[in-house]
Amino acid sequence: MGSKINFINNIPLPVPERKIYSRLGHNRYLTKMSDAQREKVEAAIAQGVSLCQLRGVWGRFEISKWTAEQVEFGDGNVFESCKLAELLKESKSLVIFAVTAGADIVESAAKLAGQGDGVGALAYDATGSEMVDAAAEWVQQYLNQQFKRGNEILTKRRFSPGYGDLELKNQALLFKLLDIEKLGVKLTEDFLMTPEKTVTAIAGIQNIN
Amino acid sequence: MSKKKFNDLINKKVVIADGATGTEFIKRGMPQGVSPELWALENLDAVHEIHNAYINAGSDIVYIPSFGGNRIKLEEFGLADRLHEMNSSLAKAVRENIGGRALAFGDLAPTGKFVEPFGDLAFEDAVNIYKEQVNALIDGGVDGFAIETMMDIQETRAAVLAVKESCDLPIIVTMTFDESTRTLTGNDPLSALITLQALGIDAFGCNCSTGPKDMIELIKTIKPYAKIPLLTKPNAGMPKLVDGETVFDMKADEFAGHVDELLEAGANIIGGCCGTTPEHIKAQADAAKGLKPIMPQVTALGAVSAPHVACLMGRNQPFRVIGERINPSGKKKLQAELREGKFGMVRQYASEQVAGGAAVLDVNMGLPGIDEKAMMLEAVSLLAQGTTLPLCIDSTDSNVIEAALRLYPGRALVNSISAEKSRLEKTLPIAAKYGAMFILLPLNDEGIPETVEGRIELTKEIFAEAQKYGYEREDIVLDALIMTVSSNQSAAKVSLDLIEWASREFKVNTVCGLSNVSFGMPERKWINAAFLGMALGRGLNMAIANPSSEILMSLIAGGDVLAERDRKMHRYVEKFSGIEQKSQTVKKENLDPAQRVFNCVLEGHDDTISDAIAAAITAGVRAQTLVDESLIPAINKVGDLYDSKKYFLPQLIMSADAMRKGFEVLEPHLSDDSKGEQAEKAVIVLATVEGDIHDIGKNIVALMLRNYGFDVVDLGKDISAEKIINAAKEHKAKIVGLSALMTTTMIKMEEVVKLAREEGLFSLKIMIGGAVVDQNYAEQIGADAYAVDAMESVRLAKRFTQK
Repeated sequence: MGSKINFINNIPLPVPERKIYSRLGHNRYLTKMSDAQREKVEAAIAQGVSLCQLRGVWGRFEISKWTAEQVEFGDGNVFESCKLAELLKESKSLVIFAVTAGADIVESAAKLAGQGDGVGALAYDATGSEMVDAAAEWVQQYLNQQFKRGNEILTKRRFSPGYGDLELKNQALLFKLLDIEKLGVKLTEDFLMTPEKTVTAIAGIQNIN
Repeated sequence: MSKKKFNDLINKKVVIADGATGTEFIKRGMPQGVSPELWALENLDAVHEIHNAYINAGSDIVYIPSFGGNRIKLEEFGLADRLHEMNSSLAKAVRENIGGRALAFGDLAPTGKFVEPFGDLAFEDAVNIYKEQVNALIDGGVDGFAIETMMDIQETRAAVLAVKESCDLPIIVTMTFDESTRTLTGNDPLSALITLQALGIDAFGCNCSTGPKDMIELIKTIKPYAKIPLLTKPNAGMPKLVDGETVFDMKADEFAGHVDELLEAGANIIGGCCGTTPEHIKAQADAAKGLKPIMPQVTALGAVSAPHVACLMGRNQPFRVIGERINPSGKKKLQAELREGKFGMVRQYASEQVAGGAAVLDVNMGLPGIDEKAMMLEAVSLLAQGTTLPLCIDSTDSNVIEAALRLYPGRALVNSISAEKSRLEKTLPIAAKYGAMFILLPLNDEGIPETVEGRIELTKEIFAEAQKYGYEREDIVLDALIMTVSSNQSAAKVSLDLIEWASREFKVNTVCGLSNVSFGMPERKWINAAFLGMALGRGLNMAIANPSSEILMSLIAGGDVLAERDRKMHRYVEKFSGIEQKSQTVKKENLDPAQRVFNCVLEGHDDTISDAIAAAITAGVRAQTLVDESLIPAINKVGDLYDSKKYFLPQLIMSADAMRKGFEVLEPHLSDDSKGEQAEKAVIVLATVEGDIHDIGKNIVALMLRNYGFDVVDLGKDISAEKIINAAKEHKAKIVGLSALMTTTMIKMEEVVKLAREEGLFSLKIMIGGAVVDQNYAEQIGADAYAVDAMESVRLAKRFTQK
């Protein structure tokens, strides 16, 4: 199969409210809020949600050579990582994807922090983080639905540059393969992604049985 | 097969579709990673065997195995150049085999791409991709089309239009909804039904994702709104993972045990999806034998839809406000933005109107000097993604309306169609093609009739024309054409009489551009409000207005109660009950001035603490007493609540904000001695280390430290060790706080510690924080402490600066 890349302009998600609250340290059994406090936090989260522009891109690549130390895929690309190789040992192809919540949410959080609005800044930050995580989960779910018909399924775990022994510099390869800059995401010299609410991932494609 | 014959079949009996094809192919040896369509073509005996088994089991319709036969899917296997041959050969072979024993429907399914505005596949490209497959299937011979397992309404629309623009064969559509009754892209069944039945499909329903039980509820939910037959193809239960294999283990008997309920819920066509076999379909067909399906309950439906939300309109529905603000007319700032091709204000107006309670958003891009069509498409695209509400496409140009309706992933309202020749000849057929509702303007090329009789005559004339295109009264909203009373005081009466006639006799929805009535008058809001009250009494059920107007929205809420459109008055109570609660809270807080200051900190009211302190001082409470007995105990209590997890970080920050503000207000009232006691003003330098760009955590720490009286020098992010140490020396800092969020950047913290010691700064305390570091790492690099969160950093800072 080919290795065309596919862009998703708008990832539709229900707001992962529970997770946002958890990230903020809320304990569902212990934490109590007054109506005014709840209103303030809820309003900040709602505003944060409206600032997230969830976009993504994914591509499928054939694995041409597998060893316990490295995986060759696509047109001569290589991931050197024993742990990633272990994840992909049952896979004939792999999927790479990236999702971002966009620049607005990150810039707005910084702006609020600068203005002394800590609650707003925190809420935006937690919302951006959870929205982009949920978007990554969504892409995995979406791809599983796509692949199901061909009797294929994604590995349950996914991997990212910077995890385990897969060096962070591999982000550059992901950016090249998926044209991630088209999502408005840039890579710094140290291979960090800006805006920071961005996730890249690699997963294997396996036979469903 | 004609649409009529298809309908006759549905009227006669419960129609049985086929069961799973994919899992049957796998049973017969289809390997992983091949094109199922090519495998089917090369294994026609298997295809015939499966179809024969389904027909013998009772299937009236079987699907041609062309699921992934579109160009995008075939390209993945290098088979795009065989598209026509594969699709037409499959269709031909299937039809020859079944020889009229059942109907053969061409199967269209997702391309795997997202279609604009949600993805990078242009809408017209998507339509053309499906058209290519549709025409190949038609060449081979099909009785109709099944568009199935769709998860996105826009791609589904593209497939439907491809069939509609290629032939007049029946179209049945099933989308795949999970247990939350949403597709993966968030489409709900009601808005999908409204969008697609308006587009002219012949049956709608669901397949895959869930078993029969979940589908019963889904069908029940949409049946009251369906003008067309409903269809279900459930899986054989929910998928289970057994020994690493996905299995569907619902047996045929159990599967068929749900037939009664599916039919009672309103299904007209039933079949199966993943895991179902000819045995399942036979059991299902046997169970349905002799049972009568429930035919559609409505022949018309006043409703518009967005991808994720439906909006019903009519007498028993709430009064609907169409938000009027996205219209450059008379808005200089918006005009300037649009001329620059910017949409910031469009986005802002949209979100304000959603928050204000609009049900639909009017979108008008008519402005001299701009490309109205391009801007309308841009706005529709943006609003389809950025808001939940359905749109009202507002233009006088039929080309603009056509482009917008074609792209819009829902059922829109068109504003407007009059008896003007160009509107009747051009705009009406366009609106009908896309199934849009429309606002009927009772005017013609000669102008607006002055009398109500003249307007009634034109209304009837336009409606008669619309009926030729299949429009019903429910699809129409009559604009009462309000003129300003400042130039003709009887103008309101004509409009009110028209509203009454339209609502009571002609029985259509009525709307008005509310604010027109008061144009040129002072204090317009009172004229608008009075007119609205009178119009509500005559039956008005919609308005084009600004939902940010509290008077307007409150009047509407009251009107819905009196007109029994707000059953049990839930919406009214919800809208206004909070206001009473708030005033009670304020009363309670008035009791004790010092306690009120304490509560302000405890509950984080930085907006009311100034007033509370002023009231306490006026009541004779000393400033120092407020510090010692209100502010400090309150913030200590907040710290305890935070430690016991009864408070979480936002509450801690709210309280710290309130305390800081409290100190600012009190400072002028405190004696110099006590000021000295309060001032800790030790300098703390904060930075995110070199190479790291994450700084929100560090910013929160800065805020908290400032709130607790420290002098914070925040250097920002990606800061070198040299800069940090130089700043510490320059500001005579007592503490340096370092943040890092990456394993690749935390190593820079050690450089800062080393440099500090090399420079002889042995008394400088260094604390570190961030998701990847911990106490062990702090000890390993020689830092003085690790702060798990912002509160801990405050405690550490206090400890390090205690004399």
